Amino acid sequence: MKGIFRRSASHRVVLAVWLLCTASVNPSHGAQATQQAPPEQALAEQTAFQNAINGIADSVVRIEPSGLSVATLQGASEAIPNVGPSSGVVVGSDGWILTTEFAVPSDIEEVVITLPPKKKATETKKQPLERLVGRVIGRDLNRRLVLLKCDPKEPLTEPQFVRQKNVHPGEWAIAVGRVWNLYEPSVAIGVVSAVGRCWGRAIQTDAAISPVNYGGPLLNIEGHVFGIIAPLPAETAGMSTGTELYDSGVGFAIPMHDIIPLIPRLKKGETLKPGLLGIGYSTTDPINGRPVVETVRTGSPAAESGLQSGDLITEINGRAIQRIADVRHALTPKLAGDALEITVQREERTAPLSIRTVLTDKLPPWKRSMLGIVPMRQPSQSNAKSENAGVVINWTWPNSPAEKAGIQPQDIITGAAVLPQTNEDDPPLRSTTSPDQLAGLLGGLTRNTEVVLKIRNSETSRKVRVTTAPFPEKTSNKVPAFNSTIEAVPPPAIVKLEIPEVAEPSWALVPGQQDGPPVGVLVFFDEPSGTLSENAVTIWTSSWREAVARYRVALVLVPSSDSSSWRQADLNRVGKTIGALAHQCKIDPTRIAFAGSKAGGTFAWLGANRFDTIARGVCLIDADIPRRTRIRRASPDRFRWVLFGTTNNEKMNQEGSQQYQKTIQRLREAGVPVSELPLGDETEKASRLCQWVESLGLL
Amino acid sequence: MTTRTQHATSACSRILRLVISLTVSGLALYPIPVLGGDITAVSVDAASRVVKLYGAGGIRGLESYQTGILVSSSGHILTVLSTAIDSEAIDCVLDDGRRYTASLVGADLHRELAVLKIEGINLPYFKISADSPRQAIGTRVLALSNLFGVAVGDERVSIQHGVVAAHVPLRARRGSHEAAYRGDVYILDCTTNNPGSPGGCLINWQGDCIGMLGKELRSAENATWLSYAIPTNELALSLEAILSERNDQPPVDERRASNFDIRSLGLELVPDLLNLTPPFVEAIVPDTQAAEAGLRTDDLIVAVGNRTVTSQRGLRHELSYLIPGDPIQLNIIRNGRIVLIDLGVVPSVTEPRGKGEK
Repeated sequence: MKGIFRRSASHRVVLAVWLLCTASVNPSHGAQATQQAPPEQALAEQTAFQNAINGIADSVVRIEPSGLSVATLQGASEAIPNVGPSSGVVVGSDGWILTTEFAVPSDIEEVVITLPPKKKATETKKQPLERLVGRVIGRDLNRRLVLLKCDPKEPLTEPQFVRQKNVHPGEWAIAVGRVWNLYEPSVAIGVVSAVGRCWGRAIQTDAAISPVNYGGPLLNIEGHVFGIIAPLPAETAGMSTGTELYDSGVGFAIPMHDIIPLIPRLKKGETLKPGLLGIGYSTTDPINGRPVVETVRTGSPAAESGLQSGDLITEINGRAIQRIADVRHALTPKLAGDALEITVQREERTAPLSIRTVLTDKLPPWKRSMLGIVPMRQPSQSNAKSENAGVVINWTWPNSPAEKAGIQPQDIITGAAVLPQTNEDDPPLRSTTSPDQLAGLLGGLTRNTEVVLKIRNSETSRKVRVTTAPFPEKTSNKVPAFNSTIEAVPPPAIVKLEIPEVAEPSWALVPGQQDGPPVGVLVFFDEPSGTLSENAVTIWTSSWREAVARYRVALVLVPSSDSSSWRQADLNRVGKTIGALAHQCKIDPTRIAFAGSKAGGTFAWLGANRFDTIARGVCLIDADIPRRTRIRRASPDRFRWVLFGTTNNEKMNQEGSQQYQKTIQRLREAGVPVSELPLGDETEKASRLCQWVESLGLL
Repeated sequence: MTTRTQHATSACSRILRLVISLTVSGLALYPIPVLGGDITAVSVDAASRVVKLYGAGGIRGLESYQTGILVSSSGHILTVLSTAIDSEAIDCVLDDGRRYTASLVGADLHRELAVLKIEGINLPYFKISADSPRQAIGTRVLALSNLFGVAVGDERVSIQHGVVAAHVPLRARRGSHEAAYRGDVYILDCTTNNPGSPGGCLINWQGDCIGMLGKELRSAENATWLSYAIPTNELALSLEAILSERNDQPPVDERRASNFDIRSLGLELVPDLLNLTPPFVEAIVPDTQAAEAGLRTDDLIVAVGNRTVTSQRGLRHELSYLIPGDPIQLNIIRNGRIVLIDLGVVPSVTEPRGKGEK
């Protein structure tokens, strides 16, 4: 057989070669690491990154801070200025640049754009770069994008865009900006973490996103642009701007395939706004909440297209809906003017209904209205049908439409319908088995809306037509008491409420008769005084005992952590206190309010805003809301009645009084019901406030 | 050949073929540090040249531990200048647990670097060369440092991966302290702004030391925390200066040497009475550069190049960075619109010409 190696000499050569090859080239001691070839895959990826960056460089511009805007720090936690140099992407070679509102806040119409260098950076380092004025042409307020137009001398380079919905979690994501260095782009590399984030609007990436690359492109490994990097916040983490996320491993980009169809509209100068529907739900839990329409706002697209309280949403534009979060996912990317096909399951009918609606940019101004019905109290889990199969009336508001229509205490409302929505003379009524359902039906209505009620009492059953009236501006003292003679019932008791993770306990004066009707809750914040002793609480609440017993309202006192001022952190204890109270006695969730005196009053306002799904009313005694607070417009799913109480002791100076009147005006303009109430001595104060808590059940 | 020799020969060939084929297949399965390098080997090898340093600092949130790079076989260590280093005895621990006491050899106040010395022989080290090439954007890198002090005793320093994000001149600060070094650095796409990271080593995937991790600073431009590294060629200059005991002065910010006064170009600003008087143009002298460039009375200067100015003092500050030959580009606001003004270049002889009568 012919051996490969004929001579022994060649054996030695081969052996030598082999030994050389396998000799460990480990330059551990002494010189620099010599010629070790790095893994080929990593090098190939590195080359791909660099090719992608070089390929996109001519399409990434820098947008200078304009120097025109009044730069305000809008809540960015690490004090990153909202206005600074930013990046932009060429979307039209004749000078169309896409960027984000970070570069161009709403009060800016022009910015300065610096174009990339024409030749290789290193050779022309000192070459002045072409700078142009860019004018704002269009804005997408939903996605926080801005389209600019400038007039370059030569055509700009358009990059390649990924137009299909072709972005996959796990694929490379290359983020490019031009903020650090005008002559070279900067890069951050990561992967696509998820798609459809921010309620369906954004791609999430772990590439380092920050003001360094806002407005810049997000590329795939081939160097094609699949997104524009945008400062969107993680709302569930309580953020309002996206700039807090800069060091976190989370960043967002708007997908190109959503943007490209909008560019023609932006070029025409349109301002694209988020689309609004006008419905509210009974719960704020997006994950578990069933997508049942609770309130329909008068005059909204929902009302106009025939959506009704009680409708269960099953599909939107063909996409199956199982929870409130799904509705948000379907609606949030939509713009005003977009049409929707909503499929609902309505109570009386068995076949699903298909409703077409067009979203609006602005819902008609809304102010709460009322019929004058105050239902009997119900505890929290009131989904069970009561034995009466309807809503039992406790009392009616004086001079209200309900009173004038002859509705009496102990009448039972078994069905209701809102007239303009149904256009029929004898419309089918939705059966109302609980106050929540009735509240949902009536909650979105504005004044002068006609409602049909089916009423049953011990003698007859009849239908009554009533028209809603504006929500009252004054409180009423014609509130019936639960117990006219308080001696007949067990007296109220002081209860200590231990709060987890808090050393000092909260206290409550709870009405006696544990098995009686559910209690209302008034959380009172006095001047901060630190820990409260049982003795102090007993003395403080002594003037409230009668009112608490008479109107069955639990008075709750929360200790401040600091004896000289209320702190934001104290708000945590408020929520926990109410939770602890719920373990001790049955609470009617529609009758919970916060109140406070002076510094405690301002704190009560903060608490009511923080717990705005729990507190239905807030009373400020001798106090005003914090300066420069943004007042949210009233909406049906957020019932807030603001009461300003004044005692004889406080005389406000001129400036304070002007400020105070201004606050009342601002609240009224936002559609929030506001009442003023002079309060006399402690006992009268207790009485009026407890009556007011009972009034919070007003429909 | 006789049968015996033939047998011997063929036996040898068979053995050799077997060995070679085993070797080749072995290479295909296990990356031996010869073909298709192993990143583990690269980083382990680099880590043997990186040391953990512990000083007696630790006041007011300034960490007393950091990282250093061995730069000579006898034990010179390059690291960042910090309060931890500024103590009598510094503990130095190698990746195999060997402990040394290090002493300060010298410091470079300009680049905020220091050289320490331990008594060692035949230690693994990185050769720091002034010819080290500039790394392109997107180059994959590994950062080796003792971030958060998690490596203790004989543990190897930690390895992070990332890429070179950008090249910029350093403009950074921490609190009110502004960083002295204003030369070029690599901005890293890798979170190296951590306690313990300063002084760490930046390598590429070939195992070359390409830079040293910098201090925990914020960008003076956009207030983000900076992850940056000083390139090797700068490290080489610093090392050489310290070892030769030369007092390496910073290139005396020639940028500030210019006493260029914009009024020499023919524009008068409104009187600077208040601390924050905005730079409104009061008058333009005819037949001057300012007039030719199209400036007019009541124009408001809002930026020089891409640097925003909001006051005359700010304007003077930004102009002081211009050196002869630099272009003078202003953004002005006229009647609510932005106008871009090109005022030519900074003259080489700063002689006021055409100065108005004032």
